[in-house]
Amino acid sequence: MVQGSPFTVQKLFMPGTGPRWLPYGVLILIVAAAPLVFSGRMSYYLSILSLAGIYAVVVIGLNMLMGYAGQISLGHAAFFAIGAYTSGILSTRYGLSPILCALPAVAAAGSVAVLIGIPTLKLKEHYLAMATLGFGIIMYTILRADPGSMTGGIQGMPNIPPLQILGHAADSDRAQYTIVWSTVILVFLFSTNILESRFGRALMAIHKSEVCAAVLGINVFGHKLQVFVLSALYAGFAGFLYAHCSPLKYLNPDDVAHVILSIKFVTMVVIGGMGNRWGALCGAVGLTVLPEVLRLMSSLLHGISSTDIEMACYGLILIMVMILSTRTRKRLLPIPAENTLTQHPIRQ
Amino acid sequence: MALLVVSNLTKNFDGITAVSKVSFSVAQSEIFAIIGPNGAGKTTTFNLVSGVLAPDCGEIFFRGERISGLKPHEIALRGMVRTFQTISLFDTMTVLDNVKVGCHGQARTHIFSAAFRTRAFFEEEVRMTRTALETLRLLGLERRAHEMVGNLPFGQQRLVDIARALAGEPVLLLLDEPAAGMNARERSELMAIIRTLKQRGMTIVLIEHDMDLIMEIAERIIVLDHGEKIAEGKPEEIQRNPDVIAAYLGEA
Repeated sequence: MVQGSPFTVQKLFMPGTGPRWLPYGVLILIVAAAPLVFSGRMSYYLSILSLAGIYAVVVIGLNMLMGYAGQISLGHAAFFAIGAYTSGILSTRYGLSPILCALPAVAAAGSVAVLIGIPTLKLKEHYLAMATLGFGIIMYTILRADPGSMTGGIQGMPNIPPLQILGHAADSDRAQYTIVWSTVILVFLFSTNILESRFGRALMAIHKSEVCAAVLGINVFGHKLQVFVLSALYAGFAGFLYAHCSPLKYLNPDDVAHVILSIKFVTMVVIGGMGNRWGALCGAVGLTVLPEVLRLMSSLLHGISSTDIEMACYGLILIMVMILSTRTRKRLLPIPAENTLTQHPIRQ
Repeated sequence: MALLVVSNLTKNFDGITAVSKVSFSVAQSEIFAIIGPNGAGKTTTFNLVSGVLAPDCGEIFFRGERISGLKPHEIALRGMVRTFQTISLFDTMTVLDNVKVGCHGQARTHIFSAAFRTRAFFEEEVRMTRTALETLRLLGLERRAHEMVGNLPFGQQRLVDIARALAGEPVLLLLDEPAAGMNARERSELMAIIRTLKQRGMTIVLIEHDMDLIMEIAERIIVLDHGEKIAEGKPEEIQRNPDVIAAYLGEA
């Protein structure tokens, strides 16, 4: 398990020994308690938490790619958008029951990830980030231009049906919250299982030194591709949730495919401490909730807009992360291992 | 038939010849050493043999199969594993987990068995842990298995590096300056380990600057200078070889 990241919530809950299920118990308790706190007129806050949960699914996946395997993607909003729009199009234009859209949404994101991953994962370090950034921009442009008259272009796609569970439409804030957060917990357990295995260890090995991993018998490209596709599957699934389980049930390229959203996902991973699963969860919730908290507080600060404070907060958080991470000698971004071999081109 | 056959191996970097027409062969269960002054092309030879670099010219056969052109992990899975001159342990992991990374190639279960924690996953995880612990016991590091690898002294980190390579159950082990940075006691431990491995039938090829160590354990030696092989033979022959003496003195 990766330790030593700036905001180690994990350390708070797991000081060395002790029952491993304790943090999960606390998580389930908090998730279960939120609807009791935010009931009645306050149920609006549950919808914010639902959005945080949806983002958390993306961030849990992206953390595997960035925190574990050390590969940076600045295009994950694109996979989020593919999931959301696939599900949106199938349910509105083809009348498919929303719950059946999950599989095609995830599959679409996954297949695009395979096509994008094969050429781009051969690139190293920041080139991968650039390539995925480019892909994200292309996706955004396509969705806005709407060449096939499917996505609604800049007008967006309204009236997406809510999920039907046992014949009931889940369109209350509370129902959406319950669906989103139960899936978040499942997804979280699922990825914990995946990472605490030889696959997770191989990813950490690749992060530290690709050459070293390769000579130990790890198929570096194969693993990078697998984790890239896996993280895209997560993002696609989150997109599906966003289409049917968010209060708006409305898709717009600016909300789901914008580069800023990709960068937000990356920031959430970084704030959580790269490679820290609990941190990723907290990062996603923290950054989604922050603007709401600031909006509440702005009534106290006359004359200053909440968006200005929000920006200042992001800056402050990033500075804090920088300072703390250098102090703990933890690398914020993957730097090639100090290996004499990296001077020469290395075959994969 | 020799286990490893290298013929006419050549590699240029931007017009500079790092390795030039080097040929040698290593027999089963042999301790084989590559020596030479700094910049002689020893590590480049290792990089070529382990597939980290592609040769410009020449061929490499391992267990009768042509391996030049294969990717590093494909070579590793065929039973040839190497260590590096600079230790690159995975410092976010414990000693045990580092060594378990070395077992990766032997494992067969996939992500899905890990995600759903199938019986096969647990069985394999237990098997890997057992292999890793046995390897650590062989190197006398069993008691440190659960420590973070960065907390170990340098000499022991080198041994973890070797343990990680051994965990893949290689037929041939390539060691790049295994004794660098070790104290006298650690070095004698290392020699004992290398001898034990040989007794178990493993073949070892090593690069080393420590001449005492080489002359004591190596059975056969080749000497490289400016990328070319200038001598080959038993330790006592190498010590008397005028070309070798000239190469070393010339450098000094």
